[in-house]
Amino acid sequence: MRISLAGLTKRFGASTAVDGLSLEIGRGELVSLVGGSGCGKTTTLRLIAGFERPDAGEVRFDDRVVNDVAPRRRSVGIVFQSYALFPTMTVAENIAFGLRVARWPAVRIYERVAEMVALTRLGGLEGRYANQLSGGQQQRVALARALARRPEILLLDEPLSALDAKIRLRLRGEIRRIQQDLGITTLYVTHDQEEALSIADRIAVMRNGRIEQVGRPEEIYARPRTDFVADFIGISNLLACRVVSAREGLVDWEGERLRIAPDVGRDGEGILLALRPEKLAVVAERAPEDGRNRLHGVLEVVTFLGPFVRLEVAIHGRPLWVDAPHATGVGLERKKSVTLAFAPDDGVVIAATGSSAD
Amino acid sequence: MDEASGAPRSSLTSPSAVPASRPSLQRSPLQQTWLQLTAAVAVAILLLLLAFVVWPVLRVLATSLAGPEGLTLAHYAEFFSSWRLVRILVQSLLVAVVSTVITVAVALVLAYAVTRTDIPGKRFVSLMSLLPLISPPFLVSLAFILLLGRNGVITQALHLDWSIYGFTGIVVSQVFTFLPQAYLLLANVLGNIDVSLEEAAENLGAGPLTTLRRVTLSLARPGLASAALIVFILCMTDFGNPILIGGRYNVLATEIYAQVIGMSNFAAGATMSVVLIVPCLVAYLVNASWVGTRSYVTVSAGARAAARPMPPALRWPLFVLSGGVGLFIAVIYALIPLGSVVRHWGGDWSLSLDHYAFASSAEGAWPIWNSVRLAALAGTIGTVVALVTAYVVERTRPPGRRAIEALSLLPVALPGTVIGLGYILAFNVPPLLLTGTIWILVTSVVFWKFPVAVLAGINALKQIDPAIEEAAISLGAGTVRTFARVVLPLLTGTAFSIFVYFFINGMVTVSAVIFLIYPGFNLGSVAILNQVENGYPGVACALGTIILAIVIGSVLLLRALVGGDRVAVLKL
Repeated sequence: MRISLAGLTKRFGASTAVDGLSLEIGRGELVSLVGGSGCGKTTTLRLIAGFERPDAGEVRFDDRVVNDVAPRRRSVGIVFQSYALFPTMTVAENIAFGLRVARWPAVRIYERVAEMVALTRLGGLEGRYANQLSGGQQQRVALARALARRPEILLLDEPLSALDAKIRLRLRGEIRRIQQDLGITTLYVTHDQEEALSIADRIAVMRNGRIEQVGRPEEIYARPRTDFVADFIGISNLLACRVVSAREGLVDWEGERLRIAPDVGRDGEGILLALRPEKLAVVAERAPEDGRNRLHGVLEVVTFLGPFVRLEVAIHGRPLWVDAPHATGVGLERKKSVTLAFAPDDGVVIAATGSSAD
Repeated sequence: MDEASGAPRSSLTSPSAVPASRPSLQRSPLQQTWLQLTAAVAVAILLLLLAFVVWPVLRVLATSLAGPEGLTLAHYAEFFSSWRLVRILVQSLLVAVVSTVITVAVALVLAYAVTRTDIPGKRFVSLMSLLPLISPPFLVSLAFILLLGRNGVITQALHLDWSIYGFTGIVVSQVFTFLPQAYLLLANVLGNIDVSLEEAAENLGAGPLTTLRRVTLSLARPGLASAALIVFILCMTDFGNPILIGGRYNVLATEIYAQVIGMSNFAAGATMSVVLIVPCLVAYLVNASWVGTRSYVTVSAGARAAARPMPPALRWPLFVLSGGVGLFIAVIYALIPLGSVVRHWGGDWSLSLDHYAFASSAEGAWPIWNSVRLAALAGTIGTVVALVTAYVVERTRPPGRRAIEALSLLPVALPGTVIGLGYILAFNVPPLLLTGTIWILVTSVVFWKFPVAVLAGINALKQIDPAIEEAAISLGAGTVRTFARVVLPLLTGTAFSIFVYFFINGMVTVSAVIFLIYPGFNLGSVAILNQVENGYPGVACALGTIILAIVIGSVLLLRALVGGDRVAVLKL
């Protein structure tokens, strides 16, 4: 089933949680809605589930407008952030709840529960109560319960936020596997950009009730369209520059001439240049000219992050993040000068909105 | 040095460890004294509880077993062979069970309507269901007498030759009297149910009624059991309503009073007291051991408690029902001041302030002043003793803390009449000769109402992270200074709440103190009973109005002085 949201708006009192939002989720696709807390992502999910009624706009499943359809008739499965397992019922009873309500025959309920238990690898836990399960197990029960009635849409509201890092990683893969096996249209709400990048077919980045950018994970990562997206997805160094010559691809940052891709912006216009930390390299001070931009700064902090080291380099009093392999990190000393380099194509130009450029 | 490095580790491995029992950085003489002091305080508290809780109960038990030649069960044989007395026992149980069922059912509807739905007027319903909490327990009876008694408004208007006295009167009065306790408990349980659970049920295809039955009520079951057991104890031990509106329908609590005060038959009174304690104690123990361990209410990440829109088919009946109950309580309490300014209820409806002259008895308005003195003393002494007890139980953990905790909570299961009788029997001889002084009244109020106050103190201390105390100690503050500068300030809100609780009870309680008042020292609440019995309902209403005004006024005053959110109205 396809989900279309068109001009969706939801207000709570004076505040607007969702502000004219439009989004298409294709059949069998997993779209991740990502954004900071209070950006309206959970409200959007609840509008699709039917727990909130939109003040304006439409929710369509395929081509049917479902604004007035009660939540229980929408054929939508939800995994709640708190899991919302019924504490008075066992694992099997939780999974069977929706089937009982729909008056399935007992034999079919039994079979379906067994199927879901196998799918979510809960074998042996059928008779347990929620408070006798680990967080990861509770999460899988919630998923099994949501999927038992064969809904055509699956909504996941921060499904992994209450779990610790290792389990989160494993369950992420498991949710993706099940989603793809079933080919179910899925909206995955999370505040964790890394989770979104790794699990989704497409990502919608939300801010202030609107969608800032929609695209495949690699698109969003490589070509953020706004400074917010550049900053929210991964880490970016944002350089507020002025275009010196658009034709040559020459900009000015703090008195330094930098080369970027040509034919961007107009002469004299302010732009933001987003530089991913891994695109910056530490080079020897007297390395031969190779067409890359050079920046000279002072090393302030070295942070060991497992596979690589993250350096904080102060240039013109502004900190830049640099991710470098271990080998580069060795021998660097705090408060010593370092030289950074990046290729003209590695910078992503964003129209200056001024909000987070400093 | 060794000790210094060992101390922080021990605080990490046992986060609940307490300053007093842990090896501290270095023990100054002052801290040594503090340790000895807390030990001495623990012993003192234990002795107080033995003297004022255990001893009176033992005296009642001993009196019921005393015969001319040592121990005897003759009094019990007499009780159970008397048809009249067995009938009173059955009547007591019957009225308590019926009142309990109705009270819990009404409270459930109100709590559900207020916490889980979006009906209009929720604040009003909530406020009204709490009003009986701060009023003398039998003002409801008085109001029903004004409505449906022999000279009641409705009785007269409809020319009924029926009046409400008896079983019906007790039940309706108890329902409205004990509604707050059940309401608060259920509102707390229902209010903490994660709304996602209901949404999950709905998302899985369940309709509103299925969701209500299979999810919401199923989760509230332990709360319902708990509310029922507590209300049962309250109804079983209720004295004020049966004596006012019971007519010829006798219950144990009032019969004990008649035996002891009317006929000075202490042995019979004591025997009935023990018979009355048994079902109360059973209900208390079932609640504490069985229901207490079965709460489903857990606060998890992302759990939200929120009102949900209701389908009209449920919404309007709920609105009418809860609004109706709220309105009726408002009417009940409006009747008391109204009754105080009507010249002669049921005869002369003209307005007058004559009743406020209190000319119907020689003592005038003095009983109210006595009540204020009792309430202020009980409030001050009770707050200090309860907070110290809570601190000893929760933070210092001396060897006998389990005993202290159990004895502090025991009075929940003790009927006021039993406390009253026990205090007479225990404290009319030296060394604790307290009868005929205000102190027997003060101690009876303090220790009978002790459980709620101590629990409030313990809960408040539990909210204070022991790490805060540890932080203060690691910053170099001694245990004494830590207690005075860090712990005490965090307890002020609780202290005021406990004070208000004791103060209200000192103002309105009747069942225990009615045994303990002495010539020249009557109390406002008892005076109300006297005035009704003597046929001056208008004066009773005037007394009731003043007591209500004092109680509400003092609560509002304290809230204004220390900040509204910090003073809570505690309940059983």
